[in-house]
Amino acid sequence: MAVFGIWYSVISYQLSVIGIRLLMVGRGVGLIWGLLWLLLAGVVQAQNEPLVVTVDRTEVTTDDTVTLTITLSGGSDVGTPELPDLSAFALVGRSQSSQMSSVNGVVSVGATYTYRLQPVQTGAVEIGGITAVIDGQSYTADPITMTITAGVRPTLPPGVDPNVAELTSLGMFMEASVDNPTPYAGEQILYSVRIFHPSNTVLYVPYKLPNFGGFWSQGTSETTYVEPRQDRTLRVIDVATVLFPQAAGETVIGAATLDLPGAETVDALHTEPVTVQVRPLPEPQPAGFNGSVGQFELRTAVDKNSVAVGEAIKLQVLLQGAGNIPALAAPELPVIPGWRAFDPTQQTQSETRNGRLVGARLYEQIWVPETGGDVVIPAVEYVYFDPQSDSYQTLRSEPIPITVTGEAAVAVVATAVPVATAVAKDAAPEAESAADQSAVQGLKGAALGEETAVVFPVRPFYWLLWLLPPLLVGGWVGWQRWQAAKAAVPRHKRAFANAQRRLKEGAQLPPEELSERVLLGYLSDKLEQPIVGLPQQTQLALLQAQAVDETLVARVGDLLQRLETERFAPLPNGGEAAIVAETRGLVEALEGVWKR
Amino acid sequence: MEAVRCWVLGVGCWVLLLVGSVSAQTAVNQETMMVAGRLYENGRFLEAAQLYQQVVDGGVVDSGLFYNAGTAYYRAGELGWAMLHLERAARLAPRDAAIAANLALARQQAGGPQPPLLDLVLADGRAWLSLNETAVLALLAWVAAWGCWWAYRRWRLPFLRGIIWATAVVCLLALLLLGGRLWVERERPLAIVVAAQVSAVSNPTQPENDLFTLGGGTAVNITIERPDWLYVTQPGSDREGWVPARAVEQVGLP
Repeated sequence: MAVFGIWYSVISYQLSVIGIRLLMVGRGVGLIWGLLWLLLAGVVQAQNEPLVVTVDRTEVTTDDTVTLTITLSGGSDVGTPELPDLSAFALVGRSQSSQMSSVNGVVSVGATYTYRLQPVQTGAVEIGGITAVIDGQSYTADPITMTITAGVRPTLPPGVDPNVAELTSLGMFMEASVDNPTPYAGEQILYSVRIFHPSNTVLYVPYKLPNFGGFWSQGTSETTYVEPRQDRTLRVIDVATVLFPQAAGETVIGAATLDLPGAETVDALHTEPVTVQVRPLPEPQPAGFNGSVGQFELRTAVDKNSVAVGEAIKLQVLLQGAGNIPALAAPELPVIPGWRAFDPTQQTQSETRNGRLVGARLYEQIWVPETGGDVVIPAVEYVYFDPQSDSYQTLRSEPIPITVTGEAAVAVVATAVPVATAVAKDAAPEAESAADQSAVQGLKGAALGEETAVVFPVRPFYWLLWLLPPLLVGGWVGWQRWQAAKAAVPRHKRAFANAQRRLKEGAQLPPEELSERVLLGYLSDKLEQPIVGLPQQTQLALLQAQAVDETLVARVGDLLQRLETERFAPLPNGGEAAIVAETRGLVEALEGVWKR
Repeated sequence: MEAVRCWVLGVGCWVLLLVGSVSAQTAVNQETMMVAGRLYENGRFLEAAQLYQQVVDGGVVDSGLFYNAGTAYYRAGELGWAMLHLERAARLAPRDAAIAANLALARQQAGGPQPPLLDLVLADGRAWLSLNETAVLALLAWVAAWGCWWAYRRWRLPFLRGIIWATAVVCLLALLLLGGRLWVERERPLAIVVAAQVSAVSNPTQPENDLFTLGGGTAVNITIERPDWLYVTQPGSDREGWVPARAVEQVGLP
């Protein structure tokens, strides 16, 4: 293996040199080759060490997990690595992958073992040398020293496995409850799961919350505290979830349980279902009410009270309070005739505070006045149901007077030329990041419609275009071959087909001319020599030389004679069809007996 | 004849309506962009970015629009959205110097580990040619290779053999680049963390068990998609975990 190691080093070095040279002198394809060489060099270098042990970090807290990766390579027989004492960690996951390659008939096997470890003790911890046997030779990796600090989350003590029997023997149990079992539809309630265990045991176990069907759930939080119960002091993991019932009626929240095999069968390790009777909202509902339930406040503001025509002004509407903030219905924003309104934007912030979901929604809308004069932005109204007072409430903002200076509705287009440079004119821009803003390139005068959203390679028509060249070239080759094959057929064998074709194509010709062309053409093809223009005696002699029946030769002579004569004399009625039919009959008769 | 005239008239009116509505929408978008430009000029970057965002949300795909939106977001301090739009702009116009400069600034600010070599090679490919350009190049090389082969069969010119090989190699390289990019985009599409920061968790049902935190503008690859959660990996590191889908936006354009 040592010899292999030296070879790998030499090859890797040489590949790197080639790659770097190609990169230095290369352009285009040379550059790509350079990158490929470097890639190859990297692969070869990675193959250098038969046993590689790594961790993704060496300083962790007990809240983190560490990934320990053991890579074995470069042999035909790779054994399983021997792990050292890992009692300072809980094994929370493992995976294994193997690779096999064959180069010039030499099979090389590799394997990667990945362990996910969670620290369970603090201080400096050493992962001892990991040993593996490759091709009969033992390798040992260097130890890895890690520093583990305490996290904020409770952890399992060393040696305690989170299994059902152990947890039951510790006296662990769970409870579930809601703070309001008869809420209104849309009113928030708090569903709490509390996991109790002896306080002298530091313990963290996975749990599984029920499916909150029929509720809109938001903001699960977990707190840990100590609570005296009878003669014991218990540690409590309190998992609280804010729920919003979606419809009136009875709804049952299922059992929460520990996320361990068999926990569902132990009474103490799962909760009882909780029934919630959801009340409908009182009737009649006032106009403008669109389902918001909670306690809210409304504020409106504009960024300026005086604005020029064509200049932008921003209206802000802030809705804040306690309720289903992320799903809150939007207030109806005012419309001002003669002002161009852009689509409003909204931002939502919410958090669970003291078991209640609170937060705010900010709606912003930009307007551009297109006419001058004094304008009043009307009040914004918002209707909601307050479960605390059992009544519907209406919030109303103050109207805002605005003065619009200037005239001419074309101001927007006339003055709003595309910006060439990013120079902030106002004294206080709204947000500047810490980065060097002077290095930012300015905006572009974008003409929309330059690009297309169509990604060619995922469209069938693109790949159909790939078929076009082979089809065209293939068609051309086929046509060439067909022409060549056609040309290879002897002329006398095509005589009858040619005669039929001439008869079909020459329907517009005078009958005697058509007949002469068909008959002489047929005979020329059959004899494979031109006979047009030869004396009639010679033509007939050529036929006789081919041992054609004398009667047919005589018929040919007779027909040719008549055609010659009738060329200068009109044919009797029906003679045109008769002479063509006679020619066709004669050709068919000749073809029937002329076995050449 | 009358029926044909009615058909022609109907189709003509339909085409006019279609063209009219498209051009009207384009005019609205242009005006929105002009107002956004003025807001930007006056230092109101976030508002400008929001207007650009409206045009983007309307389905417009344009490198200039993405660039302007990204630049406005960058100056507003919204690094995540800035990175997202600048990445999109760079994919549409890979050789644009202004886009490359602002994207480099945003990347520098976002930080993060060095991406793996394959990603770097593909990124270099993206810096030369957009996906559609690569696709067209591959197709043209394919057509040229077949054309040269046809000409060679027709006239037997010896120099054509070299051209056939050259075009075939170009076609192969372009196809490899194209296939690699399509594969990466399909298997682990690039996305950007648009929230200021987001905690990745090992299990979406226990969102309090966070593994690590990703800052706004961090590039991640999506490996599993669920309705509200995405399983992401950070290129160049072995960080992986579930993050809320709303905190991450897919670049989308390969």
